[in-house]
This record gives sequence, C-alpha cells and structure tokens, in this order.
Amino acid sequence: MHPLKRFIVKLNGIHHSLWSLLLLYSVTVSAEPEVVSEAYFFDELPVALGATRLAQPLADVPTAMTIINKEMIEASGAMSIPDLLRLVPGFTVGFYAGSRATASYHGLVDQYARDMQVLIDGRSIYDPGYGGVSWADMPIDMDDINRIEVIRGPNATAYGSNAYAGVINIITNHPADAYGNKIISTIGESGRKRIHGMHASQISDFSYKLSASYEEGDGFHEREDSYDTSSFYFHGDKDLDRDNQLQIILGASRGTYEEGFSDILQKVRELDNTYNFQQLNWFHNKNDSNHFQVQFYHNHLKVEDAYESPLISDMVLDLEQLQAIPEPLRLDFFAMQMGAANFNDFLSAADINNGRFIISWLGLSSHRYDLEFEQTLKPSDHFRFAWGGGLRRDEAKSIQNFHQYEPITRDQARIFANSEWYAKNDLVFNVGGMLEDFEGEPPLFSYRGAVNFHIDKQNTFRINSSRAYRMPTLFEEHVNFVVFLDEPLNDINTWIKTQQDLDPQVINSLEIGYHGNFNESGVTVDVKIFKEKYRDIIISYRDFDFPDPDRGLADTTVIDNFNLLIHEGAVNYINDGEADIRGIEVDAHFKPTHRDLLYFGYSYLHTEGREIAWKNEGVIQHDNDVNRRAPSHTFSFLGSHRFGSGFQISTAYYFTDNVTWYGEGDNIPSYSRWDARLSKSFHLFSKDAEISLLIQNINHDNLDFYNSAPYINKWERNAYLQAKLEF
Amino acid sequence: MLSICLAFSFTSALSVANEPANKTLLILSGDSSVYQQAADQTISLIKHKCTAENHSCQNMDFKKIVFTDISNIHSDAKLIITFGTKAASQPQIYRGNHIVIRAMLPKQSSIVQKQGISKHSNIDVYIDQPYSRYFELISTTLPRANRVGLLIHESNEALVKPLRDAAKSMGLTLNTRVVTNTTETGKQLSRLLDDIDVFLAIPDSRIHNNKTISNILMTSYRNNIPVVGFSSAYVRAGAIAAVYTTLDNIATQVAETAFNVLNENLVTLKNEQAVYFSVSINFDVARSLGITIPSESEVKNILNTAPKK
Repeated sequence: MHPLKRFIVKLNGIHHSLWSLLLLYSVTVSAEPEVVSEAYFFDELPVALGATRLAQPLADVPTAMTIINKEMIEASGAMSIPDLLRLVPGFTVGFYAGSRATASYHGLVDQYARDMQVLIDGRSIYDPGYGGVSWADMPIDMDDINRIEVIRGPNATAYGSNAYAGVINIITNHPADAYGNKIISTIGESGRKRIHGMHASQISDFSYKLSASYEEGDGFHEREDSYDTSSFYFHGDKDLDRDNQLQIILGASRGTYEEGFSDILQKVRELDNTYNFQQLNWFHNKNDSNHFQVQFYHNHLKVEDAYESPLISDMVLDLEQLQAIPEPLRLDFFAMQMGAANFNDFLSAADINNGRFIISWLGLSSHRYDLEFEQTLKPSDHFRFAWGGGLRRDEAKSIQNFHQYEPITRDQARIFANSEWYAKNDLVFNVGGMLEDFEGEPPLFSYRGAVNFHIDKQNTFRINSSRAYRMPTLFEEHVNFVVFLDEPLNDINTWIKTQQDLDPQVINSLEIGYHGNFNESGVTVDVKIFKEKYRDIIISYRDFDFPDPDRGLADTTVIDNFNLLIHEGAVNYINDGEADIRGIEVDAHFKPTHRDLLYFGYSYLHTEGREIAWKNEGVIQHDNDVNRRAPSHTFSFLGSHRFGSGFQISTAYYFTDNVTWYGEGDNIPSYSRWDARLSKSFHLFSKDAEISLLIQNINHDNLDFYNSAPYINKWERNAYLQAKLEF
Repeated sequence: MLSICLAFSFTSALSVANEPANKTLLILSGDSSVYQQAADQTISLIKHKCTAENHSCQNMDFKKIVFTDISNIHSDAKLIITFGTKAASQPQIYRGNHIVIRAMLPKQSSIVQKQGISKHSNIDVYIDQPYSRYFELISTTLPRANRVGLLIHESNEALVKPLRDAAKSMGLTLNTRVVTNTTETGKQLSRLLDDIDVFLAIPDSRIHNNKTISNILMTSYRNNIPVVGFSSAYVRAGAIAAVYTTLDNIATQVAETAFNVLNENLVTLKNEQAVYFSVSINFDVARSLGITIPSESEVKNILNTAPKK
C-alpha cells in the first residue's frame, strides 16, 4: 500500500477529527519556510573573514603606506593612475607623452620606472622587456579601482625583486561590489573624449563584471602625441563551495600613439600597441587558520613601431646644412665631407647602397608567465605566517632591440616567507625573506625585519630595516639596438649596446616611523624618517669610444664619418651609480565628518651620490650631482566636501621640486598644479546619475618630462565635463 | 513526509496525558542540544529560585519532552514552557487553564506574526534583541559611525520606521535599501555601502543566510565598512560585533518569568523582549579595520547601563 493511502486509512480510524484538522494545520504552518526560526540564531556560518585573510592594520604594517581610497580617487578628479600618484609623498610623476606616463618613488627614474613593483589584483604588471608599466595600455578605468595601496619603501620579501623602491598595489572593485550597470562619459579640452561602460551581475554562485572603454585625445598642445585606446576587461568569481573560490580575470587593450618628430632620421610615426592578460586564482580555506591560494597569470605587451627612412640620397638632399649648395652638387659635396670623391665613391667606401634605414625605437614584444602558491597560517592568536613559492618566465622579442630573431627568456624560481608575531599586545614583529633564483645568476636573498611598538591604542612607533634587489630588465641586459640598412641584420650603426654582464641593483633601507590613529577625531598621521642606500645602480651613459660595425672594411674612415651623423658612439648600460637618500615624509588623513575629506602629503629628500656620465677616449667621467635626480620637496593636498543637496566640491594641489629625469628626460623646474572638481548627484528616471566639471592646472602652465625642442611637454589649463549614470 | 511522522506520533503519545497539577511541562522543538541545554538550564534555575525563596514550587515536577511526543495532552500541568517555534505551534498545548511561556521565539516567526493559534494565555519571550540595543552597540563600539546601513526585505518594510526611530534616539541615521528579490542583495548592498559608516544585519534569512553572508562580509570589508550582526556566529564569520541572546540568557529570563507565574506574581501577561544578552567582538577584524574597541565586558556593561529608550 502506498504510504499516503496508509496514512489516510489511519486518519479515518481516529475519532478526534477536529484535532486532526488542527494537527494538519499546524503541520502546514510549520512546513512553511520560516523567514526566521530560532535555530537561525544559533546556526554556524561560513567564516568569510578568517584571521588568515585579514589585512594588516596600518598601525602594524612594517613600512610606511599611503592608501588612496575610492573617495579620494573621485575627489581628486585624476583621470589616470599616474596622475593620482602625485598625491603620494616622495613620488615623481612625469608624462613623456599626452597619455603615457612614468611614476616612481624617490626619483632616479626615466620614462620606464623600473624601481617599482606594480600589481593589479595581485598580478604584477611590470613589463619585463623595458621595465616599468605601460600605464596607458592597462585595461582599467579609474572608476573600477577600489583603492590603491602604495608601500613607500622596499618590500621584496612579499613582492619579489622588483619591489625595490616601493610597491603600487591596485585593488579593483570586486564584481559583488559593483552589481548593476554604469556608463561614464567624459569630454573636454585637448580633444579628450572617453566613454566607459560596465556591467556586473550574478548568476547563481558566479559573480562577474564586464567593462569596456574607449579614449582619445590630442596630448600636449605643442607635441604630436595624439592617442586613442580601447580596452576590454572581464572579472569572474565562482564559489565552488564554502571553502573554495575560483577567480578568472581577463583583459585586452589596443592603442595607437603618435610618437617622434621629423628630422633626418625619423618622422612623426604611430605606435600600435596591444596588450592582453589572463589571470586565474584558486582560493582555498582549509580552516579558519589555514588559507592558501594558487595564482597563474600571463601578460603580453606588443609595441609595433617601425620606421623606414627615405633613400640615403634623398636624406642627404634634405640636409639643412647643404641647402646653400645647388641641388645637383649636394650629393658629391656631402660625399667629400665624408672623405670620398663623389657620392658613388662614398657608397662604395662605406660598403653601403643607396638604401633606407630601418629603425624601431620602441618595437618590442614581451610576455610574463607566473605561477605562485601561497599559504597563510595562524598557528596561534599571536602569530601569523605566510609562505610560498613561485615560478616565472619572462620573454622579450625584438629584432631591432636585441639584434636577433629569437626571443630572449629569463626563468626565475622563488620561495618566500613572512611572519607577523604579536610578542605582546603592544609589540609586533614583522620578519620576512625572499630567495630568488634567476637563470644564470647567483641566488638573491631579500629580507626585512621590523618592530612596531604601540605606545597606546593611538600611537605606534616602528623601526624597519630591509634589503631588496632589482634585476636588470631584459632590455638593459641584452640590448643591441642597431640601425639597419634595407633589412634586419644588415647593421650600419650601433645605437645602444650593453657591453658587459649586469648585476642586480641593491637597496638597503632603514626607516623609523610613527603612526597615529585617532579614531574619534578622524585623524590618521604617518611620519617616516629614513635612510636609503642605492648601490650598483644600472645607469645608461654614452660611450663615445664604442665602434660601429666596420662592415668588413679595412679602412673605416668614410663609414665612421657617416656614422657620426647618425649616432656617435653607443649608449651602454652599466652598474655604475650610487645614491644615498635621507629624508622625512608625512602622510595625514583627516575626516572630520563623513561629508569631508582632507589629505596632506609631504616629503623632503636629501640625495647624494655619483653616477657615470660618459666615456670618451678612454676617460670615464662621473657626475656627483645626483641630488637633481630626485625632487627635494613634494607636497600634496586634497580636500573635499559633500553638501546635503548632492553637490560635492573638491580641490587638489600638488607641488614637485626641480628634478632632472634620467634617459631622454630633461630638467624640469619646480612646479605646482591646482585642480578643482564640482559635481552634482541626482536621480534621472529613478536612476543614480552624476555630472561633474573638472578643471586641471588652474594656476598656470607646467612643464613635464621634456623641456627641450623639439619636445616640450606643457600642461595647460584644461576643463572636462563628465556624466555618470548607474542603472 | 513530516506530516506522516507527526500523524503517527499523534496516535502513540497518549502517555503524557493527565499530568499532575504541580507540574511544569517543557516542550522542545527538537532534540538538538540547543533546546536540551536551554530546557535543562531553565529547570535548574527555576528549582534554584524555588529553593532559595522556599516556595512550594521547589517540589514541582518538571517534565521535558520533544514536541513530536505530544499528540494528545489533556494536561493539568500548571505551566507549559515551549522552546522554539515548532513546540509553540502545537495546538494541544493550549488546551486547559495553564499559562504557556513561549520561549525562544523570533519576532519574525510566523507564529508570532499570526499571533498564535489560540487565544490562550501566553507569554512570549523573544529571542531577538530590541532594536535600540543594536544601535546602542554601534554607538558604544563605533563612536565615529553616524550612518547605519540596513538591507530590508520588501515584506519587512514596516520595520523601517521603528528601526529608524530607534536609530534616531541614539543620534544615528539609518539608511536603508529595500531588497525585493534575494538575488539583488549584492547589488543593493554595493550601493548602500557608499553612504554608510556601519552595516547592520538584523535577523532575516532571506537576506542573511549561508549563501549570502560571505559576500556581505567580504564586500563590506573591502569597502572598509564594519558589520554589526545578531549572532555570535556572525561575529566568528567576520562581523565586527554582535549583540545576541545565548541559551543561558534565555534560560535565565524564562526561569524568572516562570517563577513569577508559579508565584502568581504576574499582574498582566505581557510579551517580553530579550532582557539578558551577550556581546561578541571580533578583535581581529576590528584591528584590521584600524578600529579600537573596548572589551566585550566593558561594552556589555555600557549597554546594561544605557538608558532604556
């Protein structure tokens, strides 16, 4: 008999029919899903924020750190990450083209900021080819950023050998923090237009975020550096079960950038950059005290930059110095200047034909593959420990830069461990080390030891000593930049060539810091006094003695004379620089109410050192004026107030002292910049909307990075209008 | 299937009928340790009180059964105490002239919302905290927090006003976002977080459940917003603090109420808020967020001495 039929028979046999009905009613009531039952108050819940997943509080962090949160990003009106980094004490930011920037801590930098490790959601975006970060190619919108943590000081024990001067850790909005749709459109002076769209949602246990952006602009007024970039980004998070999460992040971008200027060896050209990355993370919570993650990522940057000159004879005819000579005589006159009887004799004596130069200043393709395992343990209430290991392959390929078709690779293996020990309630020790084994190099050991002493709940002092290394980039180590004639490997002039093995740079840092956290008044202050010793700095200098290819000639007089017109000697990279930087930095936040925000940043740097300047006829010249390589003073201020009516007004002020950039950069006099932003939030058809007006460089024009013809980068007052709609 | 089991128990549980007069019957909503512990502690405390006061109830007989064992009670027990909603939902317990103390009842449970099955003489002892206590906890632990955020299911929108009034009396502003569909919890939370200093979780399994609380806690944490919860488990999961009723707290209050009933001290039968409570603080989370919080006992003392509003 079917159980239900048996049940009905039994019911029929019962006399208390009323009670039966009541019972059935009560069963019906209790079978309804309760919104809240008493068991709900006692149910165990999955531990989302176990001790192993929590970030260290600022008072316990071993190094000085500046946090730029979402509110600050919005208030600053910054339209790019480098712009935002102007807020950070000790930072030097330079735009070497309208949309392309370099940013580093404590100066000593050219257009490739090789001393900084930069991560987005745990993925290093440091380019192994040239070094630094190709900021303009990163598929990330300012609106996608949740916060930026800037570690001011070496931190190789946690982030590896590129975390040399500091670390920029960018954390984007998790899909779950951004559910919905958003469109942001910006239009303004200098031809700047940007549109960004974002959609984030959830399908069962899978959260995802999709975004796409397009931007174009004219760049600096007096430069031919217009640009356009488009990008795509995807972030998906899947909860496999209570203790396992899978994360996949993908992104791609494409950009074209005007570059160069017109002279005998080049004309304005267009770089065609492509960038893509793939990142996969698996997070596993073994228990509340044992968490680990495995991460794999791949980054790829390709810069297409090819220039083919006119025929040599046409270039000669265009030479400014020969314009006084009648055109029919110019070629032979030129040849005589080179030591030949006539132009044909010149070609023959130099063993060249009347061909075209092939040059690519920036053309390069790079890959980074990285696999890392990290486990965090909390064996006791007072001790937390993270350890792990990783494997990395860096690859770069460029016939023009490396003089070979095959890619150059470098493998790295690493193990690391960091511990946080609360010896007493008021005493925290942070000790860590990283051992890195680079292919063909002796192992490198970076370390850090720090003690944080809490005077009371508000006041903390810390002392921190660390050592970190920076490996030479693949470009620095293997560059053999050659001007070819007609086809690759037909060398005519060597422009840049590293002539010896390079060692890693090393930095030793000592920091004494104070951190004050006054919750009740909304004040946070961090003061840092420090001394940094940079040794074996990798410097580029002009070696005038470096011979160009002799092309198999016994007498190289003519080709040597000709090469002097193209490029005299060659640039060489060498470990021949050192700098001592001492100084003080202040980072202060004040949030008197939830409507107000004030931030101050200040740094004073005293820089001393020496560096190789040039080599000529066997004489090596050094330069002791290294103090010009880092700004003595930087100051930043950000203030914002939200009115109840939906209006917000904010302003930012930045000052950077005189600095001389390395590489192709120039001396830039001290400058100040004042920005202001006014915005109004409102509802549009019951959707959240905001419109804002941003004015940059209100006070006066400013030079940036280049300050000598034909490159003069000058920021002018620019106004932008931005509209945002969330639905 | 549940209805079949109950029907069988209906026919086989006549043994508990005709209880003696000087008897208290404790009916549990299950045999889990939660109910057993609450009932045992309640019995112990009543006995202790009766003995201390030399009251006739010191000779009282206490009988503890699970609700599935009461199908037909014609009890002459002087007092029935139910623990949990299932026990309180049994119609048999309302037959007779005894008083029923219905302990461990969430205010949002259907039995409370429907005001019970019978018009019997009941005293409900809620497991929930009075709203004012959540806001007292916030004021005590997070003095810089002025804007409290709350996600509320659309069917509970009526609660917004009393909650807002309770917040206002503590000088706090309550910002709410209404969730119409449980799938949009994350979306409403992410928008709410922009305008608040602390997120308050109140009991509602449509918003706070095993599937959602990880996201709620992680999203709030990523935005530097502390979460104040309603259970110790929420604190273990990552909330910064919670005020809640423990089993001991329940037993203490129920025992006091029961003694008053047995002592015929009650002037009126009145439902009771949770009088006794406990506080849990997640100091790891607090430290990570850079927030300094007094000890749990200090916070509890402050809440105990807070003027009742």
